[in-house]
Amino acid sequence: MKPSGTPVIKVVNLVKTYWSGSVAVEALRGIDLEVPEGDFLALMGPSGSGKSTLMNVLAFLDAPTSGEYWFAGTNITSFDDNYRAELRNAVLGFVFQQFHLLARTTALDNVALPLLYAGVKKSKARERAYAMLKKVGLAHRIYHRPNELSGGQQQRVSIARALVNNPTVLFCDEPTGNLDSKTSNEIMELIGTLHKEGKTIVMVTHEEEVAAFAARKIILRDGKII
Amino acid sequence: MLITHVQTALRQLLSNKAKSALTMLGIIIGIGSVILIMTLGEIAKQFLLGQISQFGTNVIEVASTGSFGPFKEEEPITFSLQDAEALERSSLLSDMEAISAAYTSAGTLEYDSKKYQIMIWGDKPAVFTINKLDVLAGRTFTDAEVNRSDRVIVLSQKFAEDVFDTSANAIGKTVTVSGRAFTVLGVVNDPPMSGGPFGGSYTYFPITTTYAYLAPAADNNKVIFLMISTKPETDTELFKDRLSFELKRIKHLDDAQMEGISVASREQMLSIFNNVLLGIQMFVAAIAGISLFVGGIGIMNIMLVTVKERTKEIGLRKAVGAKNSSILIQFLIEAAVLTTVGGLIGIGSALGLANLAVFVVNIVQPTWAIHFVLVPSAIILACAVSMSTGFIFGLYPAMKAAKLHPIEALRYE
Repeated sequence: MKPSGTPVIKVVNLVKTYWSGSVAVEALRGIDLEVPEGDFLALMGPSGSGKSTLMNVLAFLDAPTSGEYWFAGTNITSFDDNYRAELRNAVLGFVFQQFHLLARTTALDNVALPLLYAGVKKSKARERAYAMLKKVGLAHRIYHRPNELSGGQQQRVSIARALVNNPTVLFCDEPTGNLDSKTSNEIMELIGTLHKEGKTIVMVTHEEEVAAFAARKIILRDGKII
Repeated sequence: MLITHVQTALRQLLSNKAKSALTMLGIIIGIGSVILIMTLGEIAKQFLLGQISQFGTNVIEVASTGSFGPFKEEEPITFSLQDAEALERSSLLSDMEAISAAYTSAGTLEYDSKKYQIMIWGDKPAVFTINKLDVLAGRTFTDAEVNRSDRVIVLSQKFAEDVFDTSANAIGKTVTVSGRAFTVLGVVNDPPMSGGPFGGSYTYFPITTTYAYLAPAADNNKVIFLMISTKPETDTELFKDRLSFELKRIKHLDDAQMEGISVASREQMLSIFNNVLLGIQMFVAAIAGISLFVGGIGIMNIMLVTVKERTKEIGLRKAVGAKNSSILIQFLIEAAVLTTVGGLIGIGSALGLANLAVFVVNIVQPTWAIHFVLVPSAIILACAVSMSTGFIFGLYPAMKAAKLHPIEALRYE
């Protein structure tokens, strides 16, 4: 149990350096950030500012070069690949710009995928996947494959997949980048509803209209928060 | 999760059938050829076993192997009727049941102004009991007829029916062989394995009649091979040793000359066949090994392509919580499914071909009545080999997939 008031995410002097050939690229140069429970944070900034790198590190997809990362009060800076995979599976949800749904796989099985990696039985996983698809308004499309769904519907499937394990934090990487403005609004309203229900959300975007749905925003430039 | 991986793999396989078939070809050929040769070998073995037991077990054949000695220049050993009588009298071979002495050659039989190719088989009456030739009509010749060199003939069934329509019809008829008239005494059933150029055209004569009318003068008293049946309880191998000893004594042969004589039980011929079969099987196994190796490389190649094509999928799976080991297992299973399906297709085609072969042989040689035989051990082994081929050759691509970084994989274009 985490004590109340403890931020879900807390990073101290986070640094991430890439090696592009023999050239060191400093993507993050000392980030200090706290995300309290129930927050809806928009990470903004021009391309190359480090906002995607920051999200990847926050989402356990990448390890920081230095600095500390506390998740729900636990220091996870030194966790290995396997444990990070388990954490992603247990406490995080992802919504990607490109949806990243499995082709030739039904909406239902796409949504059930994270539960299968968690060791949930297939029938149980499908039950929970169905409940999530219903929540995002796709109860009538559960046996459709991604190529039979519109962009907005595909993004709803991926939101259902992100929510199926009841994550502590929902990460959205340019969730409307591949959608027209009408569909974008629908998707952002759905994400906004999730925030109102109390979900903690971290979203990367470069569009002001999208960021307007967030509770607060931070802007990165050259690997630093400004 | 494992079942899901297998389903995914099968779906991938079916989504591009032509590509999958080409990929699996090496495995199909490798596994198929092993199963085919194992099954055909077993069918042939069962057939020969059946024939040998029908032909009479506890039978030993003595024949000259032709030339012998270090320079293979010595005259071949020959046998005579007296040798057969001496063996029959031997107290060392008291458990001998019967001995035959055969002189065989080819000839022509004339009846009703038609000519037939025949296999002339001169022998003692014992030939009928030793070879289990049952009388179907009339009777076989007796010792008295052998002693008198009577011009009598016993026909085999198929030949008798060819010439006289029925076996009963043949009895008492007069036929002409080498310009002499012979009386048909009886008809016996065809010997097993009576294929070849003479078909079932075996005709039996008293051996003395053969010498008197059918063989060149130089061959008088010559016996081409001896067949000896022993009492059922006799150990054939021990009997063979005693027989060789007596042959050596009676014919005053030295050890080198003994090498010019073959003394073999019919069971032994099966073991010779077994050795030949084993040789063929080893050869086919080597070919199959090469085919499996090449097929395995093909699998590795296609799996590397699959991993490349599905890099984003791997990234997504990792993002939602797949560990490196889950990805490794997924792609190993996909490779194993490919090779196992290939193996199953190979097994299926081989069994189909073997069945077809049995069907065709039974049409061409209905009297052989061969049966299809399943070799479960070979099938289980083939399944295991094809599955492990997938695991072995799928390992490198699967490891490549497992090591992908989730971010780079998701961004891969």
